[in-house]
Amino acid sequence: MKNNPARVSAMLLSAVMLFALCLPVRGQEETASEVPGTAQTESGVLADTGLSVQNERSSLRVDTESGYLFVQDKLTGRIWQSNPSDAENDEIAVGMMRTNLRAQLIVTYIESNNTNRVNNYVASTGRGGARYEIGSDYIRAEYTFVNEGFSIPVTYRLTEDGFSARILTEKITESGACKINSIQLLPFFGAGGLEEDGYIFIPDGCGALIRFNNGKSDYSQYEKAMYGGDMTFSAKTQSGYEENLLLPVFGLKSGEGAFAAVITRGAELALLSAGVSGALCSYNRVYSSVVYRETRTVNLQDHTGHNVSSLFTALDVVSESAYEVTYHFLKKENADYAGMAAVTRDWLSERGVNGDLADSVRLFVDFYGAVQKEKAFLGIRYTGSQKLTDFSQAQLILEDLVGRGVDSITAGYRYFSADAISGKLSAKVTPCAALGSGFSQLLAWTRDYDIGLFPYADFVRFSKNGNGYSHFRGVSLGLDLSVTKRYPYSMVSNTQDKSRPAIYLAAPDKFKAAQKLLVKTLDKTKAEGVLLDESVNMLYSDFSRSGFQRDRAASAMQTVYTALRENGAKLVMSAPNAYAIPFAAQVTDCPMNSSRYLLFDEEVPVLQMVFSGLIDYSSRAVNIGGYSDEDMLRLIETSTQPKFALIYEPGSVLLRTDLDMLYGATYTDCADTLELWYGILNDIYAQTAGAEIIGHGKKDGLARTVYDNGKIVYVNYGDADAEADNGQIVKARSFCVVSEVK
Amino acid sequence: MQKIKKILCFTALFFVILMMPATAGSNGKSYTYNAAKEAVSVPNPYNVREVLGAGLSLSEPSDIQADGEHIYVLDSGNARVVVLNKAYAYEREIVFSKDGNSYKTNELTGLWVDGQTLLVVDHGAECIFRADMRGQVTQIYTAPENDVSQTQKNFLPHRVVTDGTGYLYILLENEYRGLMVMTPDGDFVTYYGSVQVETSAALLMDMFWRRFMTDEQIAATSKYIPGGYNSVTTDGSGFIYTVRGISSRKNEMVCKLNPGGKNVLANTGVFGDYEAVQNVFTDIAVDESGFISVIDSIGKRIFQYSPDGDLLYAFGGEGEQEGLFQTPVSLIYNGVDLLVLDKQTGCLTILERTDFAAEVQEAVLLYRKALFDEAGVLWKRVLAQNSNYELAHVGLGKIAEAKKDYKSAMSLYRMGGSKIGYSSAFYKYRTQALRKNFSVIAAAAVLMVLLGALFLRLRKKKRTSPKSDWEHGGKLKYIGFTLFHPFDGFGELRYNRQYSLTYAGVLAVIWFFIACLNYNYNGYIFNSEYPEDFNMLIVFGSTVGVIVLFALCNWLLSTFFEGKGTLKQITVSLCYCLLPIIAGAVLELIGTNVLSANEGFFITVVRSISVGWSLFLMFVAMGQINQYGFKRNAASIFCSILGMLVIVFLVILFFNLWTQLSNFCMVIFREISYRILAAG
Repeated sequence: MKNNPARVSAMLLSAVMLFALCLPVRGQEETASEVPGTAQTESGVLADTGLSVQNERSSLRVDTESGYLFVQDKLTGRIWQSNPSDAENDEIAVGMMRTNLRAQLIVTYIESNNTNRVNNYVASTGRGGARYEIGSDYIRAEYTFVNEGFSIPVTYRLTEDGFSARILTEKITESGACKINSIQLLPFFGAGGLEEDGYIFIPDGCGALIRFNNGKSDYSQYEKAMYGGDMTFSAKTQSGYEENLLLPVFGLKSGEGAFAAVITRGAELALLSAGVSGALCSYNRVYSSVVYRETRTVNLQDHTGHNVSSLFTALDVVSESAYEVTYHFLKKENADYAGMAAVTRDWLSERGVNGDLADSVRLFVDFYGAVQKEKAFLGIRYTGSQKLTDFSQAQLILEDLVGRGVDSITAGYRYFSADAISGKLSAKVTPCAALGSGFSQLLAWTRDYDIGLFPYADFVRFSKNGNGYSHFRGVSLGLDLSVTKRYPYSMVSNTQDKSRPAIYLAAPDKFKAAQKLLVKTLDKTKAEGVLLDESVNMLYSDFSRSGFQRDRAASAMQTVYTALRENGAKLVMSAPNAYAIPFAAQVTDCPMNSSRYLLFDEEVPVLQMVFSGLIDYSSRAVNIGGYSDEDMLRLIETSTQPKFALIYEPGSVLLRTDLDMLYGATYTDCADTLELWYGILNDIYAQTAGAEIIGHGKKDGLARTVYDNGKIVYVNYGDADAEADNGQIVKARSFCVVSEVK
Repeated sequence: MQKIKKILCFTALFFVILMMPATAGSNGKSYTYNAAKEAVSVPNPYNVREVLGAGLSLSEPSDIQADGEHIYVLDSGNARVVVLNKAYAYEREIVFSKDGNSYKTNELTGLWVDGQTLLVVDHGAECIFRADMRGQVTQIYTAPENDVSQTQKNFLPHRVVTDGTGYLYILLENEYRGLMVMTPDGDFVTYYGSVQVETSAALLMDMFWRRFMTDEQIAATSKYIPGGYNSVTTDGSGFIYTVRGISSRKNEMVCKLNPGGKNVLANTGVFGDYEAVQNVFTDIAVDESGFISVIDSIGKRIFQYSPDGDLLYAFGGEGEQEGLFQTPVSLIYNGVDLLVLDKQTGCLTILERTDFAAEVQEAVLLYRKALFDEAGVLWKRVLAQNSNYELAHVGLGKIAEAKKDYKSAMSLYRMGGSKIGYSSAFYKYRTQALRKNFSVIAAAAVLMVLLGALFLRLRKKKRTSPKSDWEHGGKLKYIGFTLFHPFDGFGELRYNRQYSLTYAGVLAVIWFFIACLNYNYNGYIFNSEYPEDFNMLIVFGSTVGVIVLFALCNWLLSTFFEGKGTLKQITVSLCYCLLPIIAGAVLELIGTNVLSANEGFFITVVRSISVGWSLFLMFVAMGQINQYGFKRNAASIFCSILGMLVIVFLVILFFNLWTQLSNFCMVIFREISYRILAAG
């Protein structure tokens, strides 16, 4: 069987593709010098060549010759440019990068299985392919790529405090053989040069800053998909933990000015990129791109150990929703990441975020019901369930907590239904019989004490057939039209561990069935709402014929959230992506750190600043992985509610189960710590709960958080006492609250 | 100016056990191995305190050392040593000079702080030089002239350490004789801690082919020497520690060499990963208490071991995130902090212990000092953070054993997966129980003896001749007869028709059943299997399956060997022969549950006797049933075994073909579905 025809044909096919891929990407560099009318515009001067529109706050001008955009913020006088004005003098940029610096769009496209890249400066504006149209408050540019045969219309429109750039994806035309893969939008907008001082804000995890000219040009520059990677493409290896981008926002501060850019449409398809000077060019830049059509290299055959890769392109699944980035110029006093957080908060609250706000500390707990465990009886192996916390035990724990004075509690109940325990799609919110009959009693008891109880539900992920979803039906397909299968990663080899059960993803157009089950069973169970985890933070495409790209998948998910909300259910969400946040009542598992790439210079709690005053938010379970006072200081700095994962049984029963990371979750082991933390946090949060964080800074281990109700919280992480702004001494590894008096 | 008024100031009343400085978390996944050799996750033992990266502008740094006051980073790319103070602030750089001129270096790979001088290994220039703290080169060591055994052309030093007397221990590249020891004046002394040549199939093949090679060919092929040491360090008390790369013997990946050059960690167990994951250890560091940390350059992780060589945890991983590494080349302890140098990114990562690691390390040290109560408190704290940390269970077990609470010691050892500990506690527990119930046991024993004597007496009266025994007793008794009289029993079996397929089947099933019980209920000390992994089909195949297969092959081959036995006769007699094995297995089942590890000899004896007896019976039975002579019988049995192998091979081949075929169909389906369905 060594030479089976399939392998031969597959190898031939891929050899052809590989050969094609190896052909050089050529064309752009040579033509660069022929381009007429290079932009020699003096920076800071709005010359009157070109088109311009203006409103009260800002004015926008497009230099039709060079294609450059100039936006002036009338409030500060600052002129923001789409491209650096001295781009031609860049000593670091070589090859195509030299013209990229002057482009508004950089397009990656596929032509007969080659991936190529082209920018509009050379291929469109330079060849006379750009046409402009002016309206009352907008300028529309139609960039026609003459040789490649596609045209991309972009509208630049003035807004209240800046402008927006929208790629009209539905009006993109492709006449030739070139198929667009992705489009980088305004890749050098506001880019900071070698002499400039400033930073880039990236919403990675809790948020991170990359300082201009930080000398880290040797490290990988930043590029990451918004809302986490597409789950239909599983990475071969996974080494460390990485945080997702939960908010579709980025920002840049240079000198005294700053802007925050919100991806207001099509964020599900966006990639966020950032780079510092020295890496390819002399500019520090941050920008987003939209994936118009998915292209990936997929393994065609991987059973016999011989991998044959092939470039796959989704031909019919293209993005239909427009892609829009709105740039907000920040006022001088707000020109920092707190200002960027404020812009994001406003944007979220416009989208209808209406969450609960506690008066003080609110304790979040996650109970774990039971877990599957391999067992043997008289030598006969079977998969049984190992009880961790049954309903009466959960009540015992809650009673004890109330007895200890912990009375504001939101309790999630994971591994709640039989389906959740066995690995089926957990759309049925029905209490598992193995956890006892005490659920209604528990529910009634929590009602009396005003404790929120939220059973876990999920409508996207399963490993076992059931509830109308199977490994063949109602499941999402990958680009090569094979069923998407993911295995948990092995800790040691970092590769997917195929000895464990595979995870399948429900096809987004098949959410209906799950939605029906959810609504029906929730009515019966009478729970106040549900705890959603994967259903709010796992975003994926489906490339079947009726498939969706991620934007439509997100809106399919929103349909389910809406149905649940209309049915009166409250939704507690674990680390939700922005498209889910407007439907949340409370948010848990907020990342307290970024992915900590070496490229980053500083970590900033922007996510928490955005949520503050908007919705209650908790950390991840602090008792998993060993707690330290460090964790508590971090909670205080970011005004984050604490979360504990709890089980009733001793941790030794977790051995050889999928939940063996729950070491330290046994209630009796952590009850005293929990009570202590609750007490300490209660004193502070009584003063700051519900207030917005409007300022934040950290210097030499002393963090300062400013609230809109006039309170300032200082947290000293250092080993020595530090002095607050008013002269107040903040003890080492401690904190204090001061009030501002105007 | 805003006027700010103080309202409240809290002083946090933390329950902190050890005051930890401000830290960030760690991105990698930390794990350790349990007794079943499975990786289990543990809380992060180390957090990243700081990553010193772009600020130091290091270029391909290759080694790092600390002397308690300062930290020295060998910045090879810039041919200098960067000095940091204890708090990791940049202090100064040392640039090398000689006689007032700048000293030219080639490729610096190793650094050692010897009192107030630095020893720097210049691998490229094939020398080691000594410089003072201002960078003045005072001495240059090259290949020693008095090394009479000098066989290598080049002197390729990689790392160097010195001992208390100032002697240099030089790690040479590709040197299998060990570390080269040199006097401070540069005279050769000896080789120390030789690397043993590993016998492997590849090596034997190589030796075989070398017999047919010409001298030129031999010279052209690479020499078969094992992967030598990769790095070396010392702990100040006379021990030299080394690590090495790929080794088929993972228990020698980390060596702690005593002054005699003997590895005292040789019998501790495996270093690095199980699960067939390769490890190449590139550097080693030992702290003041003896905790050993090594870098694995394949998984980019750090493994930390107790002074006795027990794995505490592995952490880190590959990536461009804090706490992950690209090319970790060197690590060193600074107090309890761990410093890791990354060659590719030029980053120096400062890791500090979490509470979890601090408690584990403290507990290990307290236990080594025999402070059991104090250690017990810490182990309990460790368990509160990680209830499945086996070392803690073992630690508590040792403490319970020392307190003569053997019963709980046994259960703790069992949770900790320590068979040795369990056995020792069990032995003491058994002695205790025997002593306590001596009168009852003694009385029971006397009673048993009396009853036995009575039974034998009654039996003797009834007994007549052995032969008539089975004639009266029927088929069941005949089984017993064949047990002690195999030649007669099996020889006459075909004539007297005293064989029964039913009884034979029952015996086979009993064997299978007992084998299942052995797998699951053999005493913990002797049971190398994990009941969770029990697979009834495999046990069935290895008991009943083997008998049936052998009987089939033997019968099929009887055509060639002119055997007279029928399939039924062969099967039946084979099953009859199982009786000793079954009896042995029952004894084993009981014995393993009442004996301790050092009495395991009895179990081995019982097992050998029973299996030997059964095999003997089978040999005789096959000869008698088929009416073979000795030689023919042996040949037939040999061929039967070959036949079994052929059948097994065919089954596997068929299975493989089936998988290939199904894969082939899958590939066609995937191609069609993409090419036609997607494009159409």
